[in-house]
Amino acid sequence: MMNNHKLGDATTNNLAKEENWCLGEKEFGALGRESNVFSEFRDDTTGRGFKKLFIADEVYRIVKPALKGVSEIKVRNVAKQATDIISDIMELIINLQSWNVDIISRIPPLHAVALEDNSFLIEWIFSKYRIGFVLERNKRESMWYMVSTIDGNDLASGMLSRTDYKKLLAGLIPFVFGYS
Amino acid sequence: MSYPDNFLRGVSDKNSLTPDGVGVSAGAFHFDLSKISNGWLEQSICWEDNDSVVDLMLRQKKEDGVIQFKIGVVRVPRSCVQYINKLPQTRELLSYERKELDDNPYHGNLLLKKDAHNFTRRLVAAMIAAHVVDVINQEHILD
Repeated sequence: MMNNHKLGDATTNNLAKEENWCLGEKEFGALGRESNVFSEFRDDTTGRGFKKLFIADEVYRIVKPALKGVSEIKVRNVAKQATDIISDIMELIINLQSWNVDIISRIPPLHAVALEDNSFLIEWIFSKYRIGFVLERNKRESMWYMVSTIDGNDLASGMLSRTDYKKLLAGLIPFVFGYS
Repeated sequence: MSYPDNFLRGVSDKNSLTPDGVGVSAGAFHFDLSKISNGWLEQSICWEDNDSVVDLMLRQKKEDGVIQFKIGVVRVPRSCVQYINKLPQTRELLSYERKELDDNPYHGNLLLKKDAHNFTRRLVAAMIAAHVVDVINQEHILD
């Protein structure tokens, strides 16, 4: 069964390389599923029209609430930041899922909420810790954090603009896998 | 002035909770920049002085008669304030007070220094949310 999901008017450059996003038959088979999810993104920045993206059901389950939240963002710049992060997280999960497919099913969905000041909050919420991205209208003030209630493992945070963002996500995703 | 072990925060936005109703978004604890008093940003809470406070909050109504906290309330240990105040990034920025209202003797505020950087405000909200120990939704109300 194919489902069609469209990401509103949000745009992203990261989806331009759609070949990096397609799950081939081999990977799809590794999930042990007979169905897949078909998602469609519009890339206004390149003017290349619609990009097609195949995401396995389990990966889509993780990002679906955040994608839904993006549709409530009123500020285009914030929406762009949000779709970029969600896209990159999806990409990393897809690339990592060959480790252990069972782990993916234990990862909670990304939670997202538009805040009153038109910023946007994306969080991975676990019982003892959480990872968050606060996307501000002023992109230079957008930030990330990892907060824990475990003594000695309290807090890590930084500005997204001053962080090697890809390296950060590449470090956080395995952490999520390890604690899920 | 004495304080109980826990305070309660009302939740009126369904997006403040995860779909399973267990996780609480940091968005539920973001400090509103428009609520400033005596150099502090105020965030409304209720002190859980006794077992009736949860019920009082769940029944609380706005002026138009609509339930104030449509989703419910969350319980947070007061000790989280000391915990947050000891962290290098958020040292001594957070406090609390009692501020009784005519119709709510349990009302109070979490207080964050008004000159705290936006970055720090977000961190503090996330830390408080991480310390939530219970989510009590509207179905718990006693009829």
